[in-house]
Amino acid sequence: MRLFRSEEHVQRWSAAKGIPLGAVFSVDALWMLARRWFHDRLSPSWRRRTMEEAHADFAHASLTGPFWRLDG
Amino acid sequence: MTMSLPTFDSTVRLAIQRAFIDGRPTPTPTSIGRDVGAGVAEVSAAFDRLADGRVIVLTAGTRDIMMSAPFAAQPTDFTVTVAGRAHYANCIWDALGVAAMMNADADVRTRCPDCGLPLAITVRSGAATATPAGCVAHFAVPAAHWWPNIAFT
Repeated sequence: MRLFRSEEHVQRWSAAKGIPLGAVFSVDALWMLARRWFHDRLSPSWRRRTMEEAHADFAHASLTGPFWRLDG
Repeated sequence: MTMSLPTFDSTVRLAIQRAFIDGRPTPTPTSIGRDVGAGVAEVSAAFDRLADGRVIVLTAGTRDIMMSAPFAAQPTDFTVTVAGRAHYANCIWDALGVAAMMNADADVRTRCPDCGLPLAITVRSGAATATPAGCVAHFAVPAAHWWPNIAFT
């Protein structure tokens, strides 16, 4: 889960390393996901997300499709 | 369905996070025992339960914390500075997670894995801005396979 200069850099790195391309998305979406995922981490009542909750968090950041399925 | 943590485990979990937030050495059952007023054996058992529940990651065969998301116990390519204190995160998601968890302004620093260019994300008043503009996140491993690949995603 890394940050790249642009999608072109992801593609070049992927080809050079022989690592299949995964999901590429904007910093805005990443920030939405991070806020949704971590905002409650310091709450005493925090617990790990259920699969359904995790999928909802991904969808909140417009991250949908087979890549984002925990039951895939 | 995930269950709420037992109260003691929740106390230990929060004490671990607080140690990272405060920039103290990586917490151990001994240091957390001091923090929460409990014995080492009791805290060690909580460490094991938290690891079994995938709340923290321990180095195999030890009670040495490797990860307590969003924090990394060892230096990584992802640094997050909040209120003048630098932290290591496990990945770019976790790096922004530090800012989100602490609900604070933050400066994230990493490098492009392709070209080595320094990249930054600045969080101010709840908004994140990348420098240079146009940076993108890449997750290599599909969500269903994150946990078996926790050290490489």
